[in-house]
Amino acid sequence: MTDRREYDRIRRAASPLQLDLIESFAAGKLARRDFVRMGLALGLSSAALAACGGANSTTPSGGSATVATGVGVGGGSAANVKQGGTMKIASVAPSSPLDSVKMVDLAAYGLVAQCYEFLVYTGGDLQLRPGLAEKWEPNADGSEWTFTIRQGVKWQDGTPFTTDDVVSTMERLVKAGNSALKGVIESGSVTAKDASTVVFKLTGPNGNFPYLVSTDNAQSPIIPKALADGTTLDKAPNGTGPWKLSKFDAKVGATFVRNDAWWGGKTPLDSVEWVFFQELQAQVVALQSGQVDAIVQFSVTGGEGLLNNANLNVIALNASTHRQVWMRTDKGLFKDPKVREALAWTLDRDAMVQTLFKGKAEVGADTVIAPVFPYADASLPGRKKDIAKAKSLLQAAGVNGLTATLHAVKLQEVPDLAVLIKAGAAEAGITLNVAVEDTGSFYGKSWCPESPADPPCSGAADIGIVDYGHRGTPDVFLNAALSTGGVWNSSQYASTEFDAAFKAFQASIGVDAQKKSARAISDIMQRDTPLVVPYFYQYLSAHSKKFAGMATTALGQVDVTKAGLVA
Amino acid sequence: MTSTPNSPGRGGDPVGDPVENPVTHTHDLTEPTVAETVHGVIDSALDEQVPVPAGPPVSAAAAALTARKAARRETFRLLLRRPEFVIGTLIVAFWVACAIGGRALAPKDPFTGDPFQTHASPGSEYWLGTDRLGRDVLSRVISGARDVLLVAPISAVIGVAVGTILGLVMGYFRGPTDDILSRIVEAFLSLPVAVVGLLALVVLGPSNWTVIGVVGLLFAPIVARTVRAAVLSERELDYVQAARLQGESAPYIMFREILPNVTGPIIVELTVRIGYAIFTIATLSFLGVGIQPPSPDWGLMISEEYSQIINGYWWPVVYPSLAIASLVIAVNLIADSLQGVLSR
Repeated sequence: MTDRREYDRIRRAASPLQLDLIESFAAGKLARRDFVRMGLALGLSSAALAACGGANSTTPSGGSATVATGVGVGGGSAANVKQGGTMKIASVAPSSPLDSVKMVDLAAYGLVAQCYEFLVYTGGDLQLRPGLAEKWEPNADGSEWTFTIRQGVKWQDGTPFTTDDVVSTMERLVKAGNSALKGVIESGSVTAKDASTVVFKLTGPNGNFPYLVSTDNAQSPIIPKALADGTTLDKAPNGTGPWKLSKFDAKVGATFVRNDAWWGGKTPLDSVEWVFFQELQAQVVALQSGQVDAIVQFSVTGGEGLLNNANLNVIALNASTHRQVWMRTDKGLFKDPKVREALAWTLDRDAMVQTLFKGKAEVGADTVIAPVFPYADASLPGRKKDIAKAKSLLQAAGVNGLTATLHAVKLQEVPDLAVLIKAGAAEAGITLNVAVEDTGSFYGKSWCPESPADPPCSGAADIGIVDYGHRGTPDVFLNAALSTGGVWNSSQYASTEFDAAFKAFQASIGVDAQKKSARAISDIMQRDTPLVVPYFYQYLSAHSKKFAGMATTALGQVDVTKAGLVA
Repeated sequence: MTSTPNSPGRGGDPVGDPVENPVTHTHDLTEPTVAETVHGVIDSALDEQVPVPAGPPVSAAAAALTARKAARRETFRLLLRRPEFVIGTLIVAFWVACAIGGRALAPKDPFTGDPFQTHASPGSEYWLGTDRLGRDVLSRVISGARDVLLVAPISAVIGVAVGTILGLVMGYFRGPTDDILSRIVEAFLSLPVAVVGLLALVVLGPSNWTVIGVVGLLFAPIVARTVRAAVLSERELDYVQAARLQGESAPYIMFREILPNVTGPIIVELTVRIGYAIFTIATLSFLGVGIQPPSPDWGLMISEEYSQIINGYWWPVVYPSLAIASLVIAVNLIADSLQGVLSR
């Protein structure tokens, strides 16, 4: 706020939402980091943010210049890399076809993001950066968003990228029931106003909307209008992005070569090779032995050896990735909220973070408003292990000697989490028998069986542990897992109070309002405890120190546009 | 044997039903205890040198029984002379002691870990180190013996029991019964045990009892084939013919006449199957569908930790592997000795 006149000019030009944000920051209600993050979401330009005193925060930790080019996802550095060369990246094989609208796994997200581009990019720091959209702006209440589309961008086959491509992609997402956009936009909500402007008319106000068309919503990259529904990227390799898919075998790997016509400039690397592995330990060995140069993602379980390897750079991103221990609220042993809360008090969360993640996680307090979100309230009471409290809650519920089967998906640390939960619960007299199930039978039988289909997940087990990937906003967690009739609502939680609080959160604009409404959600979640959320863990990726400039999102969308061999 | 059609207890038709053959009269009320008496006398005498009487079938069966008792004693004597049997038994006895002693023998709680001692290397505090959750590997290996020594023998017994019944039926009846059952058994034998076990457990859901049932039933066809072969040669012997002539029912002949004479192969089969069951259960646990965490089951321990070997944490994997190996080898040593002695 050095230049008073410039500041005033920005204030006058700002929309009401932007103004609210600027004033909150000026009044000291908001940390600089959060101000920048929210300002970007509301479409304030980097220059405007800088003028208001938020400049320093726009530079990602790696000291990169990625903001300006608009393609970096954060952390990458353009300095000191040689031209030319190939980078080999280890990944698990994609478990779903490379159909951007329908893919569901990290490996597919990463592959698709090399060719197709998003309107908006969410960096590892959760700040938004322009992609195929140069800027965006909400109306007064945040129910209508106007995106200005980048001009002069071409598809790899030479045809120009237009606003029609954006509209048709959004229609496809609505049709496919995209988990982030469901209930936010409908068919016909998105229209092209002119050749450079697309207008999104939302079903209600949403202050976080740009996140929903960013890398955070992994299924939302813009694909050509001409593409037939369901065509996979490998069948029709034609994106706007920096890399062209030249070879793909779903079991072996993928090769990408530089797209010389890319609007973002010339990438230092000539090509990028993705090598697929079935298991994490094979990837770890490959990276340690120099057979590959980077790994898309690894977990502390099994990848512990990479954390202290002097030849590697580990990228650790605070994320909203978490596990939910759902408990059926409509029937069965956990119907009484006191019983659910009792279980929540038996967890030794600090020990879990230490044992399972060697500290690379944050303790959760049974809310999905992760500490990484700017509107998370740090004063929310935690849930430290308290067996006496658990016992008295059980007593109050009139429960004596509870026995249940705890279903756990065979994925990373989840079976170990189940074991630790079991041990804590036993101290309060709750007997949990752990049943570890492979992904197929877990998702299909225990978590959200297809039948009975209405309401969704009504065939779910009484209690289980399911994994949730990172999102830049909690909307998907709140919408799918907790709203009445939500598509992933395995606890069958149905609370009109919660639904109203969620609506209020989506409609809340401005810092104070968002923080307050998010806190209201957390309070309801703690009181009703439909879920236990023990921790939020960091997303971990690593690359050889021979390379520099690699960046990634917590959804596996690796960005190597700035990467190259160290000069 | 000597009753007549006109004996007092029978009243009615003096001619008798032509279908009702004379053997039926063994159980006639007038002379009820001939067979039982003979059995009883010989049993109580326990005379090892009873010659097999050439006379009536009743004495033959009785003599066979006595001979078996003598043979059993002799078998045991011969077994003890074999060092591999003694070694095998000692190792198994050690693991049985661990299984019974369980947590009493374990130096630490096998289920509770120290979050700050994960993957501690073997040393004075933790002799065999700790696992990824900071639990004592030694204590887990010791208490892990219980699961495997409970589940493996029970499933082997189920497999052998079902297999024996099948084998007896197939071998005794032969003809179409044998043909049909044999084809079914062969079809089962062509399926790899681990794969079928995996499928079954995925469908039925994992629990100790499903493991026992699935492994037991998967072993049954293998046992059935062995037993059938033994029964085939046995059924042609005179004592079986005699029992048949005597009018004994098929189940009686199968289970009371033939079965005692094929116990040798069945006992060998049982020990061999226990060895295989240990292996199969470890495999299924390793694949993650068998025994559930936090059980200190050896196969499960290996499965949970093997990915850590590349990080240098070999101890949570090597020790349970050694435990499985030692137990399987020990059981096989016993099985080998038994086979050597019984088929002499």
